[in-house]
Amino acid sequence: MKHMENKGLTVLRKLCNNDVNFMLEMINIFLQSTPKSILKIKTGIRDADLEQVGNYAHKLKSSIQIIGDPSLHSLLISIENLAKEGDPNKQLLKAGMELENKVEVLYTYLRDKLENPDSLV
Amino acid sequence: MANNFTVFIVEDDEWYLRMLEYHIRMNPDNIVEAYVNGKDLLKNLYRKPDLITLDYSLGDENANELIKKVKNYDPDIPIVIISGQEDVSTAVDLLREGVYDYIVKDEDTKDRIWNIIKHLKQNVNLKEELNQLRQEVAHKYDFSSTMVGESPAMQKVFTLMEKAVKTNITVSITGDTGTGKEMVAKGIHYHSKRSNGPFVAVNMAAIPSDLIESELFGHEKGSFTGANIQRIGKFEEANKGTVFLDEIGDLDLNLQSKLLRVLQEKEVTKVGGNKNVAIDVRVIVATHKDLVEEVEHGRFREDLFYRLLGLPIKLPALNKRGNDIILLAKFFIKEFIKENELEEMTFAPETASKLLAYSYPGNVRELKAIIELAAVMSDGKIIEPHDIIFSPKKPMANLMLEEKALRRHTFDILSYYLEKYDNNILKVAKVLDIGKSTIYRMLKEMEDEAYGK
Repeated sequence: MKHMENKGLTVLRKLCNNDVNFMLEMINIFLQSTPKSILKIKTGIRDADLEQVGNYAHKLKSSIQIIGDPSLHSLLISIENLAKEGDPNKQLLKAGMELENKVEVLYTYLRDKLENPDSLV
Repeated sequence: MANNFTVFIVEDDEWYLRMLEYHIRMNPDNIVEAYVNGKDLLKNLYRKPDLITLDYSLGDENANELIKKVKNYDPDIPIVIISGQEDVSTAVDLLREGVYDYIVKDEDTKDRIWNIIKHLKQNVNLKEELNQLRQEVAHKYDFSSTMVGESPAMQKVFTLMEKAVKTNITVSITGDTGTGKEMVAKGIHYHSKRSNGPFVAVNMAAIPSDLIESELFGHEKGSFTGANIQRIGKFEEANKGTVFLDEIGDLDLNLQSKLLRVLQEKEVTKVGGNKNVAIDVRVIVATHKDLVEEVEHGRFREDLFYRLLGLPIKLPALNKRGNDIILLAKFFIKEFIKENELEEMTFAPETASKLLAYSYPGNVRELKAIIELAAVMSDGKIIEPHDIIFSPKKPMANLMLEEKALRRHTFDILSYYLEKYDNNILKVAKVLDIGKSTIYRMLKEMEDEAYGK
């Protein structure tokens, strides 16, 4: 978690110009909007709809790059590429589960920031 | 100068949309409108955004199709593609299609967007400045406001100019030095359909003969000593506009044939080059020479003469324009007062008579100089006859053309010779075969007369 804090919120803080209120707003939007994308990736993997998987992984990676940690960003790039390539080695299922777990850790961390905004100051 | 700058953001990722909006709105002069799909963007294009940022992966919509639709509506609206991934070939293709820039969504996006907006704002300001200057120039060469004249000869000129602006016909302007040939050429250009294109004037008499070809048609790098870079010529520079070839009668015979080829083929070849470049240029020529006579003497090609003749406009000499002299004098004084923020000035009736009696060998240009000098010399609001100072360098023959008292003729002759011999009284006395004391007496009388004593 420490690793994510250093990288992830440093970039967000820079882009928010140290404006804590705006950081909280962006965290809130992230928590509200991204679960839909995660769900689309999950259902896409389940239904073998690789176009859907690729599109949502592509969308999600930009915000994850700023708010998440680098390993999560790399995972989304892998998922996008696997979807584009047709998942020849059937790795998407595993990657999808890994995504779900890592995102859940991120959500917990971000919810904590929302509940304790002073930690952002 | 433009302050408000409207940016349309087209982005279906709520999180990223808010981030972009925040960054762009950090400058309060920027107005942001957000759209989550292309359909809503197209509906609102009539509001003329200064910039569109477009997410390349916009749901099910094809970003390339959307770009085409925006470009069809208004090719001048800059579009910046914001993409989730770095894809050089896509970026290059999009830039070829006319998008302004391609940036990747990362932590540097904010700085890139700011830079783009900064550059575009400078461009907007430059465009506004350019439009304003174009309007000013068009006004400057407005026939009715600047080409002053009620004489029948000038009315005929105006009628021909009105006809000239309607088509691309070549116009050949003749007239003595200072009659306003370039003014007429500019007047035609800035009222023609080519007014948004350049007006490029070239004075054939002012360019050394060995440089004219390069000046007119350009040159390739290394084509001659000193040609360190490739350079386009005046014809290419005037593309979509007008080229004004002043003193065309001074063009040497060798270049006349090259010019004829350019006019016939509508393409130029740079000196030292072998590639033809198509040009779309209107040609206006002017000369103070009698081209018919030049053709008769073999100094001007007959075929080029007929090619250039087009619509001939002959400008009358100022001394043939009667009361136009007073109208022009009033116009020039008004302009001079405005430019120099002086108090209103008028001409004394005697001043008008003096102006009308003069021959103006330098035509309108000379009148303008005389009036401006009079405005400077005048001590009050009325320009008196002694404020009008005719050029001492006028030829002796012109002194005789003016109708005036013998006494004035005598003064003018004395002034002429004093100027000629650098105020050497002894020399002038000898030439005129009069005594030195006579010259001193005459100078005193001239001074008294000038100051109304």
